[in-house]
Amino acid sequence: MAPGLNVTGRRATLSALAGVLTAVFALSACGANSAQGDADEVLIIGIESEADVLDPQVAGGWVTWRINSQMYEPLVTHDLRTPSEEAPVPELKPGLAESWEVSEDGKEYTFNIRQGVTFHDGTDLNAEAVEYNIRRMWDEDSPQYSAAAAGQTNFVWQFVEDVTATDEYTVVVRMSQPFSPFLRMLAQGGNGSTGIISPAALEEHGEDIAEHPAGTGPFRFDDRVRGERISLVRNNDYWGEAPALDGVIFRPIPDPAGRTSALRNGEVDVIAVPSPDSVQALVDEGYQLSDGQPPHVWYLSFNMRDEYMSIPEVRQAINLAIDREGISDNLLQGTTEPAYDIQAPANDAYVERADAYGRDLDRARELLAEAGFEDGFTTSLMTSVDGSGQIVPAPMAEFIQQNLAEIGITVEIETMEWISYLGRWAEGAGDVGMMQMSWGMDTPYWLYIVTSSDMIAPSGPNVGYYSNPELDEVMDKAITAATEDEATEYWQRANEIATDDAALAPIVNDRAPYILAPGVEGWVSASQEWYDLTGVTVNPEG
Amino acid sequence: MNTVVEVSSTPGQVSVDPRFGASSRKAKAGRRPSRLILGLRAFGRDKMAVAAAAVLIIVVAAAALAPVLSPYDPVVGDSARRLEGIGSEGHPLGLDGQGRDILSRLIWGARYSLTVAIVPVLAVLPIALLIGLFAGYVQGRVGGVLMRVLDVLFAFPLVLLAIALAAVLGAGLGNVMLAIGISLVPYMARVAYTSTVQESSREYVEAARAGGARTGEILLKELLPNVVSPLLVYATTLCGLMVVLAAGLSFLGVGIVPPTPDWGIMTADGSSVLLEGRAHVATIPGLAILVVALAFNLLGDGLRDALDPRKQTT
Repeated sequence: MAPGLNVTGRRATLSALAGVLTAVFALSACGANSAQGDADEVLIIGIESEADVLDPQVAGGWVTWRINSQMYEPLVTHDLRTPSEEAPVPELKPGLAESWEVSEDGKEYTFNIRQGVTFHDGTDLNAEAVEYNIRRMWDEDSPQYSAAAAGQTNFVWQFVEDVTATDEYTVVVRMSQPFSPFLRMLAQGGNGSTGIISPAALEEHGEDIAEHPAGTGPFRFDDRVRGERISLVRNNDYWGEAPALDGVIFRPIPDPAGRTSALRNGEVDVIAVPSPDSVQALVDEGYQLSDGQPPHVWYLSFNMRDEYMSIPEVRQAINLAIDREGISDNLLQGTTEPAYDIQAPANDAYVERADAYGRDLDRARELLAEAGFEDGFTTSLMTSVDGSGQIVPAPMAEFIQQNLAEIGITVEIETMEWISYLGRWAEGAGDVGMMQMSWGMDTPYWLYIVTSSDMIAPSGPNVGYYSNPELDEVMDKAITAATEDEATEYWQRANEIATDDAALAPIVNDRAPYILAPGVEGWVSASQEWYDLTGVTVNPEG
Repeated sequence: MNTVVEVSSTPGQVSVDPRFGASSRKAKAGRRPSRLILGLRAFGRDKMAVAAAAVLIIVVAAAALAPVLSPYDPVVGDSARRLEGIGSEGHPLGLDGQGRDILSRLIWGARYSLTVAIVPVLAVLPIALLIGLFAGYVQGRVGGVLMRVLDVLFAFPLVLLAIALAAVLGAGLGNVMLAIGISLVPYMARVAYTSTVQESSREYVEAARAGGARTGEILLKELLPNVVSPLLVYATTLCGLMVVLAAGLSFLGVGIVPPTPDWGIMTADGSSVLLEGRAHVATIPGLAILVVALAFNLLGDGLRDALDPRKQTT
């Protein structure tokens, strides 16, 4: 996922053609790059789609943050070197802020900025640079303000009242109310991130910064050929542990079969999102599978303005009729886990609710009968045909269609190409019964983003227009809670309420599989949608 | 089609047709066998065309009898057995990615593929005739403008135009047929126009005009029967192309929507496992598209020859 909320427009045709052309280029480019990594140790990753802009604050989508996060760092980051099994919820760790203090009332955050860090353009990181960046995303009156960056990072800065650099290495952020998810939101990257950019580079290039990236991360920008590759090289002046690799190249190969053959031909060392049906074969051939449990929920939003979906029993019945195990084990060949909560297990507020999300056709039929629809009804489900984090949306929708047919609900599937779909999705469900998306965060605050009355589409991503005063109240308490433990308790209650009322239909949690060539070592699948490449090595001989 | 000379009941209106006669129930078979017989004989000599017609008859029959013939429900799958190959137990053509029976989907798919191919062509036929006859015979400013507008549409390749229209109209069987129909208008109208212009300068039209026939009569009684034949041949060939185009639209996701067992969708479904040792899922519907498209083309060729007097011999 991670919907770039500002993308609109019907570009199905162009995209379809672009897809064909990209596939052709991807094939013709094979071999062109093969001489690349001769002397240097360069890791080539086949990614599932072309990236958005290389401006971390403006870019949307996990695909792009996986690249930007190698070049840019926020104040707070995740420990992505610990695998998912050891850390189901990823630990926060200091990024460009060495440490921080939160005031007693939870409204003031003091960040101690790391000293001796230089940007890729040679300028120094200090408190002023951080303030400059925050004002770009939040302060409409500052000259560097970017509406695009503000739009993408609004969920992070919405309660901020003031930002000041109190001395050379201290930044104080004041908020109008306590906002317990703030630190975790600083580390997010799916929907715009807070990666810090060199102010000197911003002054020089303005909104063109995406063509001249200058961050502080372990890799620096080398070259971008649209539709073909983005290449990064090691930042030898990195403040932390320098990467072992000399460089990394991201190659967009949108066709899953194209990615698989690129891996088999040795043109790439790693592929993202292998087709579920190819995983077992690749493992048998000696490739390595790396996967984890990132906060990745493939879910349906119910349209609360629809005559059927507005009835809780109908929504509960749908949740009980869907065969999540069948989707995970058969259709997706174990590359996902059945989702038993709206939230992914990768956050503290996860509450397993197999009673509400396990399959029970009898109970589902009973609930439908209670609602007066023992003969069923016809509704619609809209999804994309591809896209970031979407797994294989069309076959999954068809599977759900078959499941719901068993309790008498006829589902008409409407599909769109990804970019068109994002625009359509952001508008809200409209006259569609259910809308699908893949999203999630390691902070339970995500529940607020997708179900709160404040976030109703088109001004927010609550595309099903869900509104529940009881849920809103508990979520407000969670947001304004002074401590994280207190917040977690409220979030768990919020999860229970949302599940009991069937606010959404979570279907599966993606295991985010990556297939690695035999020579790749040190790759870690943490409980997050992006990865840390500093510990990775690649031996081309395998 | 009827014999060469027809004396119409109205004195003074004589139409002399060197190629095909205007149809008339009154005309009796003369000493020569009728045109219909001659045409059928010519067609019968074309073995490929006969085979093509046979194939299409079988496909149409399968489509019509789908509920009886298909062994399983085409939209309900058994996910535990998904992707089983050709010859698996109870499923001679195997199962697709959702665990649905490919044979059943193939049979039902014939309905959609044929509908999407034939209906737009048939629907556009009268429209194209009208435009072609009008612009070709009456000409004038309106006719000129009409043909220029169609020329503009010609600037877009057929496939591109259909994709664009389908994307704008949205997916679904009706919209796909509409998109294909609109895209076909310039092509079919152009063929009707060209034959009209050619026929207009022939003696029998001159004769009719000299005889005092009104424009409407000339268009309907003299020109129409002679313009229809080449257009029918062209339309038959187009049907084959439309099977491929419709499948292409579904493949790209702007055509018929899942789980409809359309051959294009079936091919698209199978493409993801094509290289994973499950080639049957995409190959079987792909072959069906190939065979039907080829059959329409061969049938079109056969019709052209059968309707060509020069190839008709006694």
